[in-house]
Amino acid sequence: MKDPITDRSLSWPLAIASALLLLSTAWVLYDEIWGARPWKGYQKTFRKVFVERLENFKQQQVAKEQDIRQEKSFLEMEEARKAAMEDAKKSLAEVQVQMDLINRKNAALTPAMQDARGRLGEFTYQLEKARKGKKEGEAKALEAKIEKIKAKKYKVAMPALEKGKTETVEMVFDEIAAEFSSLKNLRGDLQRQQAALNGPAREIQSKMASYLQARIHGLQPHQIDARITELKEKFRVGIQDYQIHVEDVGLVDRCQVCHLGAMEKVATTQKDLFDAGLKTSKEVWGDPSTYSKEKSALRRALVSHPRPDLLKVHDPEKFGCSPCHGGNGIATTSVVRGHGWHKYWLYPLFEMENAEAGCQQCHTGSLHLEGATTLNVGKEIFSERGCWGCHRMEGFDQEVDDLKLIATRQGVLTRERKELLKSQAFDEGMLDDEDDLYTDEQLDEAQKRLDQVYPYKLSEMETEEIELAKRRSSLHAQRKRVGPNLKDLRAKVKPGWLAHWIDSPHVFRPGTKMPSFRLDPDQVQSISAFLWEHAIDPERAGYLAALQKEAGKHLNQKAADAVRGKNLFETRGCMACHSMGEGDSSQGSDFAANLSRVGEKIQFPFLMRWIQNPRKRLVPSVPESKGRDRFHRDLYPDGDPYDAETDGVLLTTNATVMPQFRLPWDEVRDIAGYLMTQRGGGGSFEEVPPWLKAEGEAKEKLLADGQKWVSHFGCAGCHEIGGFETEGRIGTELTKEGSKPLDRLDFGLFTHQAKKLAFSTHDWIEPIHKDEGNWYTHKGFFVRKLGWVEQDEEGEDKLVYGPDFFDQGKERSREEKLRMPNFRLSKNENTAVTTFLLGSVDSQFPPRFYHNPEGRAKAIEEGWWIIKKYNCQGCHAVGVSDKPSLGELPWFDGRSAERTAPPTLVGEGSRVYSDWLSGFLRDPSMATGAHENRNGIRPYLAVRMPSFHFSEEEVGKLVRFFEAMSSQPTPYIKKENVPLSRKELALMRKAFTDKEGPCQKCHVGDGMIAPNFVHTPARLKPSWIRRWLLDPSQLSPGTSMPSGLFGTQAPWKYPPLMGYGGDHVDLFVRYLRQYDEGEAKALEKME
Amino acid sequence: MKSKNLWIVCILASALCFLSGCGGGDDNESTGSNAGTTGTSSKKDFTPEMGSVSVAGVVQFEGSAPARKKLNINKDVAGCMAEHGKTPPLSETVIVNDNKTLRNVVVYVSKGLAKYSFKKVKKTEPVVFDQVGCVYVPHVQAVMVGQPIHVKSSDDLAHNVHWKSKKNGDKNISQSSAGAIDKTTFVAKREEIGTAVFQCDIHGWMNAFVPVFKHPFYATTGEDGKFSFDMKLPAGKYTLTAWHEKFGKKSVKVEVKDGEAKSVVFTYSAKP
Repeated sequence: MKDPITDRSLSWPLAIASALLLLSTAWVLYDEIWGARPWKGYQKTFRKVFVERLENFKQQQVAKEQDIRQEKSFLEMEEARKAAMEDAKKSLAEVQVQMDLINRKNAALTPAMQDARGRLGEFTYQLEKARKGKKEGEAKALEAKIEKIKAKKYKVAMPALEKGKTETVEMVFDEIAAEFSSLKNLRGDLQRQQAALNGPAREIQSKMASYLQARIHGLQPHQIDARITELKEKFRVGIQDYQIHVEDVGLVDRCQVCHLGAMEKVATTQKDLFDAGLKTSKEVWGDPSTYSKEKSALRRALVSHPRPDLLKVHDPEKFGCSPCHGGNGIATTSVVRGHGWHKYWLYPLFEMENAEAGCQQCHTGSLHLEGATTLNVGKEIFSERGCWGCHRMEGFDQEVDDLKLIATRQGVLTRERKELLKSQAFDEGMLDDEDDLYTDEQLDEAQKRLDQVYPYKLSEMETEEIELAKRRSSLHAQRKRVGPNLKDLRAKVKPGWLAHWIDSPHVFRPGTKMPSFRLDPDQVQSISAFLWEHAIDPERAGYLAALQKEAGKHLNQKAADAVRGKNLFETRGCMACHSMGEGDSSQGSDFAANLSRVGEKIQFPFLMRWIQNPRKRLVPSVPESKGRDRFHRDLYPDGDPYDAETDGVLLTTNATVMPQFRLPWDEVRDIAGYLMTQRGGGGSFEEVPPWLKAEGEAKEKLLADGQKWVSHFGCAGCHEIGGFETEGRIGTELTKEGSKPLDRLDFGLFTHQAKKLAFSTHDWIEPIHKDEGNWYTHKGFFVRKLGWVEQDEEGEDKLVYGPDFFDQGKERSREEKLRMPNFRLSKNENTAVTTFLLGSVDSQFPPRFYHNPEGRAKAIEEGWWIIKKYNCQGCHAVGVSDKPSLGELPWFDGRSAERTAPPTLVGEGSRVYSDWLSGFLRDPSMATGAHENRNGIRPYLAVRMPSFHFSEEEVGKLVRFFEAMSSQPTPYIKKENVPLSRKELALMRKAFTDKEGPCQKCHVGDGMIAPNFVHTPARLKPSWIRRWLLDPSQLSPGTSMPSGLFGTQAPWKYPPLMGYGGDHVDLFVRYLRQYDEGEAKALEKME
Repeated sequence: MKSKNLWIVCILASALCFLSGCGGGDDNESTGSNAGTTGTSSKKDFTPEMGSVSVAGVVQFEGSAPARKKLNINKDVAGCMAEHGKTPPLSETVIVNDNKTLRNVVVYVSKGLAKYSFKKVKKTEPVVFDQVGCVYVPHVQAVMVGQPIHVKSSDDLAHNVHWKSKKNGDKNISQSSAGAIDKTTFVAKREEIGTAVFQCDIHGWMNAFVPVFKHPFYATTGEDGKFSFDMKLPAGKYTLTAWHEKFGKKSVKVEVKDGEAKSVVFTYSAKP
């Protein structure tokens, strides 16, 4: 038996325990030094790689500089500099000789001057002391001494011009002092002369420096050197040096602890860090084939911010990083935590493809944000596909919100007026009172009120009411719906086509804006029946007769010339919005419908009506009452009269963005005839559909069902439907959708699956975004809800996810199923809309973060809404990089007026006066009477500027937009023109009619291919005319106007004006500013 | 204490391993890219002695020749018509010669010359376009990259010489009297055929095509519909392409041997 005392040992347990202790200590150390500080490695890598990157870049810059120094213009400057120095050399040498002489004279005078001044100073001091002490005798003696010194003659060896020679001069103190100061003045003069002589060379030198700077983009070599030294000597591994603290927000962002290159001034991409042949590259990154995930992540992390221009506007020191990008800026312990991809962090980092969501948070009001391409597409889709028909989103369909505000204000006014009338009546009662209830003072007060207060107040209210009513009807006219007016159905389409379309619009017209609802056949039937029943009955409305009256003999499909129609369709500008041809052969723009199959569905007379003036309603509508136009007396003899009081606004224009092209009826007929031949699918839809045959009870049921489903699916969000005029939106508001709590998004039965990994033990390691199996996020929801279309292996369209995805697995009645239709977005469109929604948040930033534009910026932001609404960019370049779809058509190649695309609007604000522009926008035909069949300013173009019938509000916004885009001062004040003298006028008339002066060839007469000069005085700003004359191709590349007609300065070289000493261009500008019909006639006589 | 040190040593060692692991790699990439660059710079300079094959041929036209439309001269009528007498000039878009051949077809080598550089056979003789009676003469004239282009006017009225191209810039100047000449148009890059043109905006019917080639193997058919290259081709496989303003492109593949005289026939027809 073992002795328990001697044999029992705790060695093993202790050994194990100490081993464990050791292990955990080691772990603690590891975690403290390395594990929780992964950025240490990044920082070291960064320093190593970036120093070399900079050295590499410096070499490039040096080489570039050397190249530039060899450039011809640089060498010329160098020559000029040398020549200037040479020129100045002789004079400089002369000045220098003078300067030397002065210096020598100065030196020669100095000893005598010092001696005399020293003595004088001393005696003067003593003298003053003596005078203070009233020692008269002493003072006198001193005065004598001073006099003596002043009279003393100093012998000065004054240097002569020739070196080494001197001339001995005797001078007293006063003379020496005078000479001294004159020398000083002389020296100043000479120094000024030197500076003037050196001036030209110095000027060239600074020109050379700025030439270099302008051509070498980025840092200069010495600046790069400074950064390299800084990195080598001052770089410290740590957090403090790399964090941003934005005090007023209480924000600490440590993003740059890892993203060290983010704010480097030398733009650096992954390629620069890796493929540029750096020595360290191999050492640090290794062989690309054995690349680890971590390494590629690291490489991505070290690059510079790809948009340094944005950082300039949004200084990170003031905005931080995470407010734009999302993520947990303070966390540095892991990639996942730092980026906020964690279930307990509410603002995860936006992924790269959605990065622009960050812009939306503060730039909520802009439809078009410079540089935010994805976001802009998202907003455009939201606007063009009519998402706002069902979902309220602030800014979109603004008219509805404005109308609500007006209604509220009108309510308040009515109430106030009632109260006012009440107190007026009371005051009147007071005056009538015979019981002496009131004092005289009180009665006086009442009289005063009756005389002075009530009438004014009432009149003020009336003014406001009138303005509100005007704005109300203008808003109704300006409000557009995405889809067509369905009250026109019976006049517009064949009944046989209707159900086919409603069932699956994308089958009839691939790429249509109309989404596909998931309808059962009976739903399609009943909806068709209801819409048909509630459309205007064209026969009872007598619309054909009215059309016949207007169009006369042209209302005849057989007479249509389809070939001419095709040509007109292609050249008048229809294809700026519409496309023709299917699939890859489609040409034109997809802003509006593709018309390849329009002939299969449409009725010819309606097409005529529509092309001639799409704004003209079959019957006026009362948008504020339900279904009133069906009972309108103008339309139905037995109908009710329109009553403004109860019915509200009366609308006579159609709510479409399609403009009126002011075409004559024969052209309308030919275009319509051509469109009738467009039957790409070969369908005829002539048969009478079953829903139209139903009668009696069956019909009743169809209509009742139809009404239910039309209301259920919110058709009235996009279409005008009889009886649904005042219908509200059926969807949820999306203004703050991106920050809605996740548990309020309906993931259906997928909630658990979506969060699957988030509940696993690894939840703090795994990024919840990246993993397909883990998508319990806003992005995960939006992407799936929107869905997208992909092509499968056979090239067939395949829907991926979609609005009904979250219905999967549920047993639900038709009424309970999700209603949102499939929009068949592409993957990129899905990303764009997702980005927009992710950025639509209720952000918590202080006010200074938000973009609240004023003045110029506001005008631009508001203008974009109108520009996009009417698709101005279909014809015109509005921004510098715009490529209007019309100009891209092969036949618009500028070979002739017929083939010339519409003008660019870049710089329009600097070109035309705002009052001219507003007039032109109201009526582009610039006709005095009715709208005419022509372009107002460019009658020679085949392509037509149509009449958009803008509301006054829209005209104002557009004019302000163009002025703002061109940075014009507001208000722009027209400069007075200096009239031409008789001699100048004669000279200009000669220049205009001279064969050397080609102006008349294009700007006047029958073969006109440029704007008529008679419009110039009212239209063009003088500064623009001048710039245009000097170099038209710079303002409008590819223009027919030749360049180089004028020189920019004397000697002027415009041949017909030879002999005129003044500014030739200026004379032209002045002449054009006074050109009118009378002048045109005078010229005609001369010819 | 010892074992703790050991741990630290271990950690350091593994860290070192990790770091040294990054140091590996080979030169594949850099040599690859080197090979690429030497590939592009290894072009042979072509000299006329290298060629031995003369290429010539004719462009036939099948079917009835479309009638040439009269140009609609509606501006400067007197000045423009001075050259033409009473009948206005005819459109030059399609000209079928009397011998059933097609005029103004540009035939050129479109493939097979990639291995040559043509720096040593630069053409310095300027090509001249004249404006006579408000018509460009000639209507089609090909140039080699770098060859000077002169545009002059024989009309005593105002023209604007509007040069339009995809790769060689745009330019628009005014020439207002007979004898004016412009020598500033410069072509430095090859153009997709048909994209470089001169036009006069004042007289919208006036235009001329300027096909631009990097090599000298091109020719334009004239009144007899025949073409022949001015320089001989080296033996090899080539694709010859013919281009016509209205009827577009047609190509044939040819293989030629040293000393051969190759004859090629292209055929266009009114209906494609």
